[in-house]
Amino acid sequence: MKGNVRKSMTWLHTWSSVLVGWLLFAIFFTGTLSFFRTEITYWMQPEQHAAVPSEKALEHGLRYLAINAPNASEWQLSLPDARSNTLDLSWRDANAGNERRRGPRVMLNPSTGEEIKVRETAGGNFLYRFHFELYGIGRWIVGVVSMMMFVAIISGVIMHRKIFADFFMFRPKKKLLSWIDGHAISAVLALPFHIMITFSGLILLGATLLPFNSEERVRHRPQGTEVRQNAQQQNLASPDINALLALPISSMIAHAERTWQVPVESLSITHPGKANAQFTLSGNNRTQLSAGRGGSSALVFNAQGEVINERPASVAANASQATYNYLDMLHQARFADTLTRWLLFFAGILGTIMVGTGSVLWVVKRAKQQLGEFGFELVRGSK
Amino acid sequence: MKSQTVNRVAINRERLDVALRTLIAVALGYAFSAWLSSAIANFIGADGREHEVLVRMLFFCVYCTFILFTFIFDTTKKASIVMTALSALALCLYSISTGL
Repeated sequence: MKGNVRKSMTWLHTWSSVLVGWLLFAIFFTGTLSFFRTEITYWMQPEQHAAVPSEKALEHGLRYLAINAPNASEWQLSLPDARSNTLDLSWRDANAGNERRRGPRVMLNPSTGEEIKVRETAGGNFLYRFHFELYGIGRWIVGVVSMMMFVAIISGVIMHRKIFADFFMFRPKKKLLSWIDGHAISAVLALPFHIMITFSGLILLGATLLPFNSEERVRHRPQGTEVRQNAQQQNLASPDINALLALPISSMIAHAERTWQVPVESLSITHPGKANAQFTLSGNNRTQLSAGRGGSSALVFNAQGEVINERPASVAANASQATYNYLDMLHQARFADTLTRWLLFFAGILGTIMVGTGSVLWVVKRAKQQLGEFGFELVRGSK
Repeated sequence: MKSQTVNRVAINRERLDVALRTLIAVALGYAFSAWLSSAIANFIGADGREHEVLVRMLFFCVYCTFILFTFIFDTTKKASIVMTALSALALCLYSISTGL
């Protein structure tokens, strides 16, 4: 544009953010809340509040599955952990084909073994899904808006003459100047976070935004008929509850916890109740963020309680994959403990304030000259 | 009256200027970024999943830089010439990298 680089960047910074500011605010805000989506769901489903972690959780889970899913080809038990007090069960029904990825799911009270019927609400998952796909409207829109945000952040850095001096300046009760200072403080205080979260958000939406780049990953998935045939070939006798409870599952868990020095989080049982049953234990034993979502190792036991396989954590095959995994894990805070999660939350709140103050700043700055003009009223109305 | 007409012409010219730059930044920038990031990934010898994630990461950095530069030039003519030339160069690099 006409003028120097700083003027051009100021123009670009203003327009790339003000046009989509209202949507950006919603995306940033819901994304920030999504750091605590498990806790929000817990709060919105008071039925869960009665659940108390118990040592009998495993016994209750196995008993429930033996009664309600005797013919399943696989059982999954997610034990209570720091973020959830409930015992979550799911199973893959051998006769149901492969229509569902995880099959039916239920939630139990670990201390009583009673099924918890939660109310119909998506809870924190609503915010989470809204954050990146606006509930059905499209990831494309979120992708475009994120790209505009990325341009706004970078141009915002370039346009600043004294970025760190501005950070230490706040002039209260001076309408326009107060908004400018608030915008600068919230932007600079968490600048690395803003850049990271926007860039990682973009690459997570890469499959949608870059259709030319999608790698064809053809996986052979057995069709429903194949699964049914396999199920019929197996002798599907109902598992004996007493025999199940007599299995050395507690010693398997103790062995895994001794090995990893972290609690076991989930147990998967394939061919439950059969002689060839396998017990796969996994926990939050990740040692490398760059390994991504498959970065936890697992131990596989047979029905006699002997370790038959030690499944190592996956390792990023190359630097590109490792970088991508880092960004993925950072964006979704998959590694974060409570303190880190709160830090990320506050950084997200600062980002939301940055977008909000930026939008208000635009309106306040032009209120005197452009009041009543179509463009001004349109942007003001959208805020 | 005359000054009002001149003013309106200037405003319309500025609007056209912004529209053209936006078109160059968005459309040509997308093509440029796709070609350049794919070419770099090809030259590095990335394959399969590595190629996919590398292109994803490079693409958005290149795209952002392209957009910023499109709005830095003082005239739209200069911006369109330089950016078209760069895009042609990126296309050449992409063609060479794929062996076409």
